Amino acid sequence: MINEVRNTVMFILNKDNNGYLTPAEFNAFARLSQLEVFEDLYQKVNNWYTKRNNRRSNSGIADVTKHVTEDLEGFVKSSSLALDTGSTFTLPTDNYSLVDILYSSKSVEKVSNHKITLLNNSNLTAPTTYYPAYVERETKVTLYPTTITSGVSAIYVRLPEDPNWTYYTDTSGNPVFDINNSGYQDFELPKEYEKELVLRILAKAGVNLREADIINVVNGEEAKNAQKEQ
Amino acid sequence: MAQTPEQYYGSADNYGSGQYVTLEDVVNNFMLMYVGYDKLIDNADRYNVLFHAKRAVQELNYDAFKEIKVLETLVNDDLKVILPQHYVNYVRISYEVDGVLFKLSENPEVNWATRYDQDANQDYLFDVDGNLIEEESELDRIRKEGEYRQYMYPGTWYGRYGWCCDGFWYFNYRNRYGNDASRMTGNPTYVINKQEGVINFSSGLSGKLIVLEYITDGLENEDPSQVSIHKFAEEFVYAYIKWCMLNNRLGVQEYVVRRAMKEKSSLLKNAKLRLSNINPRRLLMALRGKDNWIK
Repeated sequence: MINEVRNTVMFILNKDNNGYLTPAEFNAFARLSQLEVFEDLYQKVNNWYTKRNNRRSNSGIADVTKHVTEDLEGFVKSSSLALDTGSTFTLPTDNYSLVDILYSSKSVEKVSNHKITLLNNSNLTAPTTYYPAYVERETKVTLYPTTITSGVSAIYVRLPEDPNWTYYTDTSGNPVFDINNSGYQDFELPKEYEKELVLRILAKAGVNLREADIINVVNGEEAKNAQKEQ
Repeated sequence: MAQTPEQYYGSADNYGSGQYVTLEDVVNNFMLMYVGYDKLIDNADRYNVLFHAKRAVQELNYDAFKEIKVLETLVNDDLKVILPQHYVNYVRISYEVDGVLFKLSENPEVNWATRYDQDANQDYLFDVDGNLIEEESELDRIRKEGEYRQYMYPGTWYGRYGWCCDGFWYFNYRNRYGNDASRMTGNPTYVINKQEGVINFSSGLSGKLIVLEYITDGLENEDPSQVSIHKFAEEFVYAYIKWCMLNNRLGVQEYVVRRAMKEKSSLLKNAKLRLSNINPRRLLMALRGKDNWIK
């Protein structure tokens, strides 16, 4: 998809000789745009669940809640956690948001830092190996009871890989798309987000090239999209 | 997960397990079926659910379940028996002779006391650290050493029952006529000292076997898969947790809370009724004896 996106962007930008986007610039804008769309997915899922609760959502092929949830679930990953010290484990570097922590096939419950002391002192609900708990601090999680030192894994939403439009230079000095390059990385978002990616990259390119027309067109398109989703 | 018949009959731990659900199942089921964006409770911490589930188990064990635990133990020389670890209240205490249980009565009067050492002027004595020095109380000494028997020596007290300790005789304050009937028993008595966590027996039980029937709060095992709840009360536990959570939640309409409360109360009644195990056949058997002549 990355090549199609770049071609579209370049086509629009060069239509009126507005300017040129180098591969490095494109990759930088593509990375940022993908992150923005990815973060918007969270809000989208939340909005659609609210609509469903208000009976403003349908079922079957019109089930948009299910559809957007699936888009996000494409980034859900499972990985075992490495022990740091005591019962503290290091989270994976590509972690965006934790879904669940598991210990011996049991779900470990997230507890806020200000509640964990009270919970540890509770006579009925202090964390046990049957009902463990964890707190999150920086990029680490600490599990309770502190006897847990292994067998911990995380289910989490990972960050998308940074897109990389790879190329070689032809005899005329123009960059030509090279899908076989080891550094190649396509967008990880589904195909339906192509238009959104193009618009966002264009917006950034417009700012870069100081082209007010492009920014205005993109802003208009985004406003239309937002209205459609209401 | 469902057990195969082979798994069930293969381990004694499984026998009768069909009657119960575990605390683990209850918490899982509640989180799955009663908590969600389209449910009355939209989100809940698992430890909250676990807390209310455990409280429900405790309440059921206090007055609905008939899960009585029985402990046979020897009474020490000091006539004390330590209460079992998870003891909440007793059902019955008996002493055992040749396999026959003789019910013991609770003595409503205390038979132990703390006593501090006093000098000839009745002033308290202290140790080098300034603490009071404890000594055995007279009540304790009599309880341990005393023997309840008939005084057969000439005089006003002839024929009366009392305790003889170290050559001294002790009698009940009340006379034989007008005695408190609830205390007239030939068997030894006991008093439960809740602060110390022991049962104090009267003299005569030293070295003898007693059988203590008692109830616990049902949470002896830390493993939630080992804490069992009778299936007759399962629905009550869900309703109890639901009510507790709605009752503590801000912004829940009063009618929703009241509906949950009514549901919980009626399910508790149902559970108690079912657990009381009244069935027509058993009633019939009891009624067959109604015309017996009592001689």
